[in-house]
Amino acid sequence: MANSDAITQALNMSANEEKAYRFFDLIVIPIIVIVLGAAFHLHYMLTAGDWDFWVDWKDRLYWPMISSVSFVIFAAAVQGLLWKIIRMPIGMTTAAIGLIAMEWASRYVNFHMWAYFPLSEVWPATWIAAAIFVDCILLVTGSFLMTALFGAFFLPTIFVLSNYPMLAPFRIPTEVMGTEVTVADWVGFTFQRGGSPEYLRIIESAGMRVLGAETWFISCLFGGFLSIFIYMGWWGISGIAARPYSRANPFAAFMGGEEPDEKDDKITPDAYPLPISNDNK
Amino acid sequence: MKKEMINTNQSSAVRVGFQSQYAWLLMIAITLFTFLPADVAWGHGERMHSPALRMRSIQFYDVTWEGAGDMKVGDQVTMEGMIYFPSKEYWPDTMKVPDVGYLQTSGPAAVFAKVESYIAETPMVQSGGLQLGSTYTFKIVMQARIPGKWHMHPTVQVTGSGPIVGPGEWTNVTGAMGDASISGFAGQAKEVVIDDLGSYSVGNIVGWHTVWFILGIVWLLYWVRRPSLLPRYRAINEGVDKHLLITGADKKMGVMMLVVTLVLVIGGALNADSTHNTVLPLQTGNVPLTPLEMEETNLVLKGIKSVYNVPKRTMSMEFSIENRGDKPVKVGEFATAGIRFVMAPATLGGAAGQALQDSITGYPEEYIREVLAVKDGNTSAILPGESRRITLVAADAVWEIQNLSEIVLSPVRRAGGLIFFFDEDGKRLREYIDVSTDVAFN
Repeated sequence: MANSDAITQALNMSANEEKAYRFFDLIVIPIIVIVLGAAFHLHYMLTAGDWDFWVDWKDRLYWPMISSVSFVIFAAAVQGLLWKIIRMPIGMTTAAIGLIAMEWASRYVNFHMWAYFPLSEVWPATWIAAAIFVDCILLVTGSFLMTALFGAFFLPTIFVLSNYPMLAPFRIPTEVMGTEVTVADWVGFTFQRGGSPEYLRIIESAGMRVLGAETWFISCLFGGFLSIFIYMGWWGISGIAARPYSRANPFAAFMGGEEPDEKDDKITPDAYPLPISNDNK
Repeated sequence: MKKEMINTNQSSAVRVGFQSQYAWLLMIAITLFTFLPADVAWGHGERMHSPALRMRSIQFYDVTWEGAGDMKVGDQVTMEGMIYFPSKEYWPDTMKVPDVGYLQTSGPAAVFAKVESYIAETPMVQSGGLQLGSTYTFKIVMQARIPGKWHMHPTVQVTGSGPIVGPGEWTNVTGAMGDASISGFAGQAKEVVIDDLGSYSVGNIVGWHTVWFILGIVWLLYWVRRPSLLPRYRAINEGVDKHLLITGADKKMGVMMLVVTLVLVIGGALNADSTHNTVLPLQTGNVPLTPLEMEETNLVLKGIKSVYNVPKRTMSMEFSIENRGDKPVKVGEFATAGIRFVMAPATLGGAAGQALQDSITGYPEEYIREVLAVKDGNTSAILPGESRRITLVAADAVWEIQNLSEIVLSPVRRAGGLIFFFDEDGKRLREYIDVSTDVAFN
């Protein structure tokens, strides 16, 4: 954990300045991971919740698609933000580690310890492999377009493949009351959820659109196709966060301050963060 | 410059002393409030459904709980009974037609494990097709998992409408959580032995998550080991050589991480695929369910009206009955929303009284009320060929305890339920009634 590197030297930083900036890193980076993880967890549970909560919702059709779309919204924005403001290809991995850590905390404390669901039913899927993959594509190509085409497109595929070793043992057949089902179905049947009956699972059912039963392939392909565009959109939106707009507080007068004059009462693109130049030093 | 002052200094009410100096007291009070002891919630909302829906939709009856009461972890309780679906003309408009349903229990989370469940003797691993105007048998076997005092109800989850909860019984489970488990076999040739379904494959899951966490943290540490946030932000803004931000070594590390990730991902998936040679999709097929054959009662019952008296906590239900059979019958029970209002068995006498007595023996006390009466006191048998108007009166606080008195506030003031008659041989005859409900306030 060095205080100095080629960049600080190129910026002619003093030793004290380097030390202060490093201290800032050590304080802020853990906070970023925790806050991003908590926010991402909230977002992901609200959008892809049941597919991630329960082992018998992790199906071939909806799980890869919905999980990817939900994941890439937040992860692309974080990746874009960190790339634009500090040029580090770690945004997606940071978001994924925060998300999965929060998921484990929630599953263990809330689902397992509090509501008595066994871990075999409520284990979370991992996103870290897919996130490292996309971060590395961004690093190697240095291009957001290439990352969208060759990184985001493969998000659902890497997601499914990296979770497959955990999921496969739950997809082998077993017999329950004379009916052949998967072990995941058996788990869902045995440790029942109140108000969440079998028919309510939004999962693949035998339909005309299954196309030769290659459901994994089709859902990963379509999920990847969607992920490209969502990735591009949220990468763009991250640009707004990287260069925030601000305005004077119009309620200042009500809070004991002065009412801003007309000149100040405008939304300005460059108010914060202040561009650091020699004039501002 | 002025803008900065407005944003940072003048907008802060605290600095200019406008905030109450006692605000900290409020914060402490709010914090302490979160530590107030909370009472245990024993119920799980079974009384909070609309009374008009509970009384007029699925009727559970003849429910038994074998093995309930004092239990140890690993002991089983078997719930059996009948489910009656009113016919289409009586089914509430506000509920969807129950084409698809699923049998389970209502209770606090997964404190019991479901071992078996059947509707009409058909295994209910998946949902089943149901029909209005039909009667089904049901059976659920539950195994105690978690020590505690738990209330357990049979429940039918109806597609589009939600859970319809039957009567419940208390269990008092002792022991420890790990005293028993659900076990079995899996795999094409049942070659996989599952000792405990609750912890099955958890070691594998934790192992893979650990691998990915380690790899992810290695990737993050590789980057943040150097000065990260402000120096790099400044470097971008001040036009420092971009090759200092992303070096050749960084790219080599990126390629290496990419290779390691792909090898682990693809290798792990291939290994899992070869280890588990038969992998199935989740099973979702619904099973058709065959109801019991309709039993001919030779009774013609027509509901007229009902009145709920608020201060007297009494429901009066008026109907006409015509006995087209060849045996006299006596009214013995009105059952609705899992509550059984019964006549005193002695009033029926003979085999009829004995049959009624047998049906209530051992039933949970909270659902049995021996208060049913006929308004004019005429409890004589309805003879073959006779037509009679009867007003049944059920007066008991259970109307309020079970929240059924909320019918007063319901936008749909209708009551329904099953009326049971008994013939002289003790044979029970079932009829369904559904009538509008007036409310009396004195």
